[in-house]
Amino acid sequence: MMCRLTRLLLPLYVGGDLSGGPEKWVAGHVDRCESCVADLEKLNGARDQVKTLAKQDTPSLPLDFAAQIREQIEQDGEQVVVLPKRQRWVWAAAAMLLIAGFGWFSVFEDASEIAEDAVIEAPLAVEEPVETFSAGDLEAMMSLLNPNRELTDAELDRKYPVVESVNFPNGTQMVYHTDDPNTKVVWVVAQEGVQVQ
Amino acid sequence: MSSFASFKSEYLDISEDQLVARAQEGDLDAFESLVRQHQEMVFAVAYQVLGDKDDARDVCQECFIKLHREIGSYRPKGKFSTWVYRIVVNAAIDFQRRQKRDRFVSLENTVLTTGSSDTDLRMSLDRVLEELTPKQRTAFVLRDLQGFPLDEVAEILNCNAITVRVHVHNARRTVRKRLEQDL
Repeated sequence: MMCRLTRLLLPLYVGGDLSGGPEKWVAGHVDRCESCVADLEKLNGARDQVKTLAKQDTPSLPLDFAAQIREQIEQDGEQVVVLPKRQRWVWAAAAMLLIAGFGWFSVFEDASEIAEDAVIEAPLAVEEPVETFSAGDLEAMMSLLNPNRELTDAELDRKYPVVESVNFPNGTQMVYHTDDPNTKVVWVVAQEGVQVQ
Repeated sequence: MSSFASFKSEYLDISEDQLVARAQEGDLDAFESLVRQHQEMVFAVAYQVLGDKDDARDVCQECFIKLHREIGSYRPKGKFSTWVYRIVVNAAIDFQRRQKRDRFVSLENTVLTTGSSDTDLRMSLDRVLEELTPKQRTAFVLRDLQGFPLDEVAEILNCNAITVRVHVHNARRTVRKRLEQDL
């Protein structure tokens, strides 16, 4: 289980996109787990490989590109348009009115073109969490599963083998059953939130 | 048309903010200098997002013309470069959408090559990145290939840092899987 959690976080860890508790936790686990180190090395290798491919294949623009842009601007007679302050407010107000007027309809008409962000911001399907820990607080979850820290990672893996893993557009949700039949731990990797039901 | 030498002495020593201010007043030399400062990075981003040199050049051109048209309304709240990259990224994503509509490309027919010519390298990189969604690919290019900080990628993509992390997280997993399968 510890390894599964670590591997979920490794893609962020390799790019330095974890911080605080989660980063320390992954670093600590990787220090003592050969299998996760191997996984980390593979991820680092893949990143380096893509970077190398990108570096080897970087064409350049023609030397006179900027001059060509300038020429095109001059040919098109493009002028910089600076709106006076008052006019900007008028445009802003007009835009807001338009948005207010058509926004309602556009929600339905453009349903097929919902921005990817909108989907990603949607909360994961977690049913009525009883308690929510601060985002990214891996230690909180660990203390629930291993309160006295007497179990090794391998023992934890054996003790909590049952994992329900569900993929959502905004990440992966993993559920661990604890010793208490009324308590389960829900780990949401994308938002680094730990919730207990 | 000005030559590089004609504005070099005057414009190479002044700050970007001053160049922007002058360009906003219609100074084309200042604008040309801004283009020179940003063109290579803008082109690299467009190229890595689109995977085609000619398309990237078209998008770059479109981006700078738009930049000139809109520079009058630019207000320096953040970094000027962030605004420039936001314009190029949006232009590249729009371009991809238009292309998807216009072209009938069968990905199944794409042949993977592992040779060492430029074309082969390009195909390999494309092959690695092709399964990513446009946003995942853009976030990956900005964060991993261009090395922008997470917050700046969020600003460029006009979303929050959590969303960027989700894109980058998924992109890295997919890239790794793809490399293991194909290369």
